[in-house]
Amino acid sequence: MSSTTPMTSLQRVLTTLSFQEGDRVPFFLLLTTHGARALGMSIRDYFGDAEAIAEGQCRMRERYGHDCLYAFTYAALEVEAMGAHVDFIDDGPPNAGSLVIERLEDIDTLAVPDVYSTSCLTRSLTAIRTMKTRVQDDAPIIGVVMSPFSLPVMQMGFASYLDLLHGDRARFDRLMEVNTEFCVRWANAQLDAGATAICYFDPVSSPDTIPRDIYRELSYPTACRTIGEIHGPVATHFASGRCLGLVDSVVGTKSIMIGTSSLEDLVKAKKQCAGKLTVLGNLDGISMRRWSKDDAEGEVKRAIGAAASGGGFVLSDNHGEIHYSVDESTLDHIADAVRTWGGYPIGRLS
Amino acid sequence: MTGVRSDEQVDALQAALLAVDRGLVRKVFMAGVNTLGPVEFMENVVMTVMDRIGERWEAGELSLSQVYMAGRICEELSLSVLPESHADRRSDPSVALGVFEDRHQLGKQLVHSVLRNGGCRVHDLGRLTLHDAIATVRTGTVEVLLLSCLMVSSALRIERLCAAIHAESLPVKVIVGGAPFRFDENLWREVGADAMGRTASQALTLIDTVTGVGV
Repeated sequence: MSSTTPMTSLQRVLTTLSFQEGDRVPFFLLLTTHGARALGMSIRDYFGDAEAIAEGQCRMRERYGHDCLYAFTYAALEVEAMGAHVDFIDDGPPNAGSLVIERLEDIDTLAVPDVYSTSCLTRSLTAIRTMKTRVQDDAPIIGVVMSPFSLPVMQMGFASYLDLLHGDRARFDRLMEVNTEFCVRWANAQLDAGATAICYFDPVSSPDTIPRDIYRELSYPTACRTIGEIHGPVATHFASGRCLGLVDSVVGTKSIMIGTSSLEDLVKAKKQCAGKLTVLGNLDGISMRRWSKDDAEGEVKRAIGAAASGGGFVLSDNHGEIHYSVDESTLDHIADAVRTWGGYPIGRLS
Repeated sequence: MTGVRSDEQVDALQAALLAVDRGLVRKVFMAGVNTLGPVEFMENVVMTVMDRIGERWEAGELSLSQVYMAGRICEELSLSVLPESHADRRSDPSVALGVFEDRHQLGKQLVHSVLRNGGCRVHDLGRLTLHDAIATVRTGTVEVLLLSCLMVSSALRIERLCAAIHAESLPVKVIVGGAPFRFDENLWREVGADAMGRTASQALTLIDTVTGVGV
């Protein structure tokens, strides 16, 4: 690409998704709670205000110049919609504060929340609509769902869910039925509100968490059914979990992008995904807290050097959310490094 | 000690556990207990298997659910032959564990299984807030406190606990574990912990290390 006219973020992202090189490497700073700090609000108040969420996303994109708006609020949103309590803290993302499935019998009566009348969900939809009004087609808006297969960790607790996977298959099937219906409705509502694509978080499906045979038997069919009913492009993200070894299966789900872990070799990830999936990743969002300017530049150059050539790559953190403890100056350094070193064609990174 | 560990016992138990074949696990387990005695079998065979499974998870060869199921199945059998209050369970040093400022219990349960399978008596404190944890270490009844967390915010808050321990010169060692510490290998030092476990199976060795004595 030799044009001197900068692309819009959306053009840049669409170009890399088609495995071509745009004007520079696209990057997603997947920021959530930082929006509260940008607006001088508490995290609880921020997530309770749809206009603030939209404003926070727009302000952060203005500051860093990254290539998306992120409609994700917090992971517990979907179980909150099902009746769970959410614990807010002052210095990090909220967490699920109670279970919606205390006993296995609770699965039998679990209901699909109405996405258009449940306040925590409608707030997110309002935020997306506002973002869309603000950004139009300049940048993609990324909506988020928790996969039906991974949501039970918050619905019933990790250990109880693993026991269920190895035990009561009828109740597992019933849980997947409810979660799949909810996930599809929630994803499509976000797309209808203006989201450009959906990030399908599925950390439990990572080979770090379950064996591949269980993935193929239980998670993969659920992912195929769910993603097949989502009316827009989907990225599958394992939220820091490793994905190598699942690439062909993720292709089979009709996902177009895959989130890779900082524990994985980005060169290998790019090679496995070449021409099939765009790779998203894989800056380590935890050690990022301590990065100096040189660290940030070095990590950006490492990732670009490993995966940017030929497109099919979006630079991002590896978890799908940058923690509140990462300073804004570090995000500035990352953004500066992308602009310095990420122009196509990728030259010498030194 | 009434016998010696054989590699065949280790291999057989590992294979049965990874197949999640409870019947076969019980058969191998009870045969081993009858040959070696419960403490010897748990310390040498079960812990060797747990170490191997933990190492293979660390290497990306096995999944967390396999580690969990193996620990859980062995734990049930361990408690059946050596109940929690049994005099043969070692209680020196005094060990407690909990989930710190977090609701994700799996890591704590994995460590609990390892300690029980290793013949230790361990006090499960459940979910701990910072306030709870400080109150616990001030009682002076805990020599080693193992803390698990999944959330980064929770991991960072351990610094406040360790600062209180150091400020008051409390005689307790803190061992931390969980995803934030696995991704950022310097984080445990940053928060002031005495050690970090990359896998649950390292718990017994780390307790030895931080106390300088066998458990």
